[in-house]
Amino acid sequence: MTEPARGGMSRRGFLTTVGAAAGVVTLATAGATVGPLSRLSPLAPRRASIGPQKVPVNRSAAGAGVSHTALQPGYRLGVGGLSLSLFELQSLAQHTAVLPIACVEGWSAVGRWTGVRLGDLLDRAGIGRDRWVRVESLERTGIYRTSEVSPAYSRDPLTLLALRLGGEPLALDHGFPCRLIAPNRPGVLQTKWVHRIVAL
Amino acid sequence: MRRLLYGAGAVLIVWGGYGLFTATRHPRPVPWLTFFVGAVALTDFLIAPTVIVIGVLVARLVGFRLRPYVISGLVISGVVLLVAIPLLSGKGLRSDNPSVQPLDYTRGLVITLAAVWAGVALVAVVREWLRDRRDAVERGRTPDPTAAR
Repeated sequence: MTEPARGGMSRRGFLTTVGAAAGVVTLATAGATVGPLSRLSPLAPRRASIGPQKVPVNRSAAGAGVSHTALQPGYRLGVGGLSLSLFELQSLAQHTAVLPIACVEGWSAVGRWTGVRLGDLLDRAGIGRDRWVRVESLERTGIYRTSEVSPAYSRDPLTLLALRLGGEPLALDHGFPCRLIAPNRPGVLQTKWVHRIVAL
Repeated sequence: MRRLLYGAGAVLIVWGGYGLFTATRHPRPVPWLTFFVGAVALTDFLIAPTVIVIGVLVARLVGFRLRPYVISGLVISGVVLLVAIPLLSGKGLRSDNPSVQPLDYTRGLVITLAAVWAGVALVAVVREWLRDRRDAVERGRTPDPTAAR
């Protein structure tokens, strides 16, 4: 038997080191999703306050290829058989909800969104809140071009078709003219640049 | 029994290989192979030798009293470095989206490593001071078998 080497690391020391390494990495990156920690996280791949209107963006309008179409003055939103201009959307009852964009990439950021309740729109279009609907983006391609919305969301008063973020009109990269924002829903399913909602 | 296990393993491998070409509409086995072989090659030919060389250097250069703390600091620094490499590489940066990786990550890495080594130094000083004091107290006493470490 050989003597154990002196000055090596004890088992407890090793476990403590592994724990410390996990703790350091967590602290250095957690600010991407835990707002109050963001100042302590110099290695976070996102920061909640950096982005247009102080909210980060996953897919930009340029990346999605909608920079031109989203800004067309003749924009109209189709809801079932209904067709609404941006001005008409703005004239409907507006509601505000404080909800996060929670990206599956691991960051999240809270915004103050203002717009029309999805349920109100569906009622107005005669679809009602008890049917599944598909929300379609102006994007031409991509697996997240559309998302399906269950009645549970439509009935929730927090589910909005948002026109404004932080009191200002929605930035192009956040989905101008309007985007879906709902509680407890992955960021990729908060469809941006919405131009049509159809009953399923 | 062993043959049975080999057989089951082989079936699973064949099933996995079949899935590699059929699970998606556009099979891309080359990136998969890069990752599969690359991860093994990276640990065996880069990470493991680097760790061994650093280990030898630490054993030669650092006194045994400080050695555990230096090893701790190096392990934590290594993990931090692995996490920082993708950020430092700038891969994933997009000109149309400035909210992606918006921070200065060289600065971030320096700050994090400085904090790690400051923490390690603090722990080393406090623990070694406590140990010295305890040893001094023990030396002052009459021999007591229950106090022996």
